[in-house]
Amino acid sequence: MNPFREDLATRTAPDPCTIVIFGATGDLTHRKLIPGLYNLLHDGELPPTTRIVAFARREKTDEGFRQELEESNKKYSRQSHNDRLWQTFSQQIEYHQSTFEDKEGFSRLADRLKAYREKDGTVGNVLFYLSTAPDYFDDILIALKESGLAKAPKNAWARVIVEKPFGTDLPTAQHLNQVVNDTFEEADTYRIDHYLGKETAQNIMVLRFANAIFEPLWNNQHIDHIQITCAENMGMTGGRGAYYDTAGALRDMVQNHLLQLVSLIAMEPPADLSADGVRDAKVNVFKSLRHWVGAEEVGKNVVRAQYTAGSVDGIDAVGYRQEDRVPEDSKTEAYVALRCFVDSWRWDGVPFYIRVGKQLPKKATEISIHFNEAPSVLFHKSANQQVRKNVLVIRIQPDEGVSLRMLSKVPGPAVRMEPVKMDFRYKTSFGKASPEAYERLILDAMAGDATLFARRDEVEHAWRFIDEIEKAWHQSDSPPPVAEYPAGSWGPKEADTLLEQDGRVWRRL
Amino acid sequence: MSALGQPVEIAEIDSALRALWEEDNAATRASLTNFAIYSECDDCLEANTDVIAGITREHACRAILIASRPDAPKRSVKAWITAHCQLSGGQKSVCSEQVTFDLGQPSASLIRNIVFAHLDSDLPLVLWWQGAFTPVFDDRLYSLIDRLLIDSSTWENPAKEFETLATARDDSTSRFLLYDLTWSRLLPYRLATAGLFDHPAAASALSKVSALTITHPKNSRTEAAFLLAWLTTRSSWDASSCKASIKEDEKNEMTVHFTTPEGALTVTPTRDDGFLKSTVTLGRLTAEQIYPAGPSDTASIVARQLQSGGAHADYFETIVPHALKIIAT
Repeated sequence: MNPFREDLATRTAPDPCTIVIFGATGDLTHRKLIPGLYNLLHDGELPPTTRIVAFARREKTDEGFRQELEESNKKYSRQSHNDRLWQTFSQQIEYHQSTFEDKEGFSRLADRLKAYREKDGTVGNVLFYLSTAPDYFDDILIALKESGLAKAPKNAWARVIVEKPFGTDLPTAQHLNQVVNDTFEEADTYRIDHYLGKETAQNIMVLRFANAIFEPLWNNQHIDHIQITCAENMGMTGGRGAYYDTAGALRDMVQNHLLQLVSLIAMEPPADLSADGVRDAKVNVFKSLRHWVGAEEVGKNVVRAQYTAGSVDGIDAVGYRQEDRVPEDSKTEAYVALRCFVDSWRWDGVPFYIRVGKQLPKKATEISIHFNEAPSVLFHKSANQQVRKNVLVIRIQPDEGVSLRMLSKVPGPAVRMEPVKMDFRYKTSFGKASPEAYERLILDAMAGDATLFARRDEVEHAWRFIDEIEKAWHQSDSPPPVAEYPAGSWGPKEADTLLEQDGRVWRRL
Repeated sequence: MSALGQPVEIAEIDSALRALWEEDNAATRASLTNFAIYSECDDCLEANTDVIAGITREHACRAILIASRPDAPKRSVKAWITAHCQLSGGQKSVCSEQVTFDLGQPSASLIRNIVFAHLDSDLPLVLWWQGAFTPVFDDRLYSLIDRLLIDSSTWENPAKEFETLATARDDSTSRFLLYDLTWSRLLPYRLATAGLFDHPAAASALSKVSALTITHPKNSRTEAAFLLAWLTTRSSWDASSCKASIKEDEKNEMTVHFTTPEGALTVTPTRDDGFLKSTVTLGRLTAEQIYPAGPSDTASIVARQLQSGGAHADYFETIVPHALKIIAT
């Protein structure tokens, strides 16, 4: 251990390594990965001798690719672009042209990594980042294994970051996990879900377990229900329809991001804050998720829908089936609302309502905890029924923060109550912009900390839950219908009915 | 109205603050801490107001500025209130309030009362004591401080001031975490110097360092002493194996230079663009890394320190005694 690091470390120090990005010409590299790494260097977090190899199929020169990245960095970097720093940073980026099936390309990659080791005097740590379409995962992982690149040199490590989707159903996820684990140990596998890198998602555990006032109330004795909303005010811009129509809202968002949020909200206190301590606690939530089996159960508890023509942000919007690269007869859901139950001692009888959709009125992701009403013997006539419950809201994005709604007496001679809101906003309290989720997650992977990454069993349990719903939609004789809602509205009437049946309403965002 | 804001009577401060917010369109009054600055300096109030304006950009707080003038010709008390608002979306959206006091011939009890009477309840108290300690810094004051900021490089007699601090820290009523801005300013240098030995090929060079020289600008001897104290206490060098020294630099720059039989490891500031460059030259190996030099303005340094939280590890017990010895030589 570097003795000068001992009192400087505020987190596990990342190891120097080479980051090999597969699919480096894609959007993710330009918007998130390279700006994220640049920001880490800007903040003094990137270890010395960190190198980046951009592995992709197209013909490009190092210099040409660096120029493309520079333009992206100017646009997307959280920190201002500094020419001097960029000059230093970009010299560490090299472009490696090869297809993912080309063994010779991987052999050249091995030679390149060896040359870095010799030139820099490093031990040869490598972080492989699969930023390609999932169709290529098999080819890349097999090639990494066959070329020997997945096996780290002595005293070094080789790790892999896998981007979602982690499969399209349980069998494909199991296959992917098998291929990944045939090549890398599970401990060296980092399945990235960028929601877990967001400050507010990380703050859920702090809110719950570092504040004594919440945890005693965090159960079915005090909580009426929980809502998780992920709304987007965009449709299928930029040709996204082609991918989206093969996935749909349930697989694209619920299987990963939103079930991860459910697990953070519903988990028991972990035994410790180690990666496996936290992930064991989350897995127990996934195991306790009540599955909806068959068209009838799914029909009662899950609503799927597509948007029709409407208006969003003052602009006319076409319906989902009229979107670019979406088939006219598509049955893919652009919206899904579901009622879930976590069948555990703590959450018995508490519904978790999840809704996610495209072309909704605004962009917002938040979790709201709706507490039981106070006994009504004193003030039951004085407040509107719908606003009598205390609501704790955790805003994931945008305007990250936490608010608590409570009732207060309106000044005056009469006892009249109105809801008021105590609001904590990250931006106003801390001023400083939060680091991008990818910055934190890449640094964690370099440091060998997998706490904020999904483990194999988490992913597979989530798919078990999702697959039953997909099966009812696509393989039953009488599948639940696809509802409709006008673009720019808050979803289909059927989603409202889902809560009305339980005497509840969706929270107004 | 001066830069200090609107003059108010002491007894009217709370009502004046309320009125200030009622007439202002600020959407949010935010506060994470009570941040007080105490100085015995005739012309520090406006400069400290600028510092508060800078700090509140990233750290919302209730600011209390106190200028004490013990040598003033007569006893006097003046107060002002103002707000520091940050723009968001073209509007003043987040505001921190500042209460300023100018006290002529104040008694210790008056100063204590001024601090205690204007705190935002339940929030921690951060006190930045500027300059040398005076009898005002007694147990009835320091027992209420959560974090104490000092700047040891401004002290004429560091040994005496650290002795006062040691007495306060040893007092069972005190609970404050101590932050020395001199030490905070060194963080970029410490990170860049540590980064030299992160390099795998440089790690083994650590035990072979035969000389360590830190150069410093004219007025930064204390900083250099602290940096040298940190490096020597963290390593296993002894005086016979490694010659360690500080010296004033003609170019007015702080640099760190390690000499080993295989080559040199250095940290130098880059020209004009706010970075530090660490260079490892060992045999055939040459490696450079750029690190942010960190902010140079006081407000940013204080804001960064407030955000980082936590105690300065080993600073008081280990680094300070070594640094005092170096300063004394």
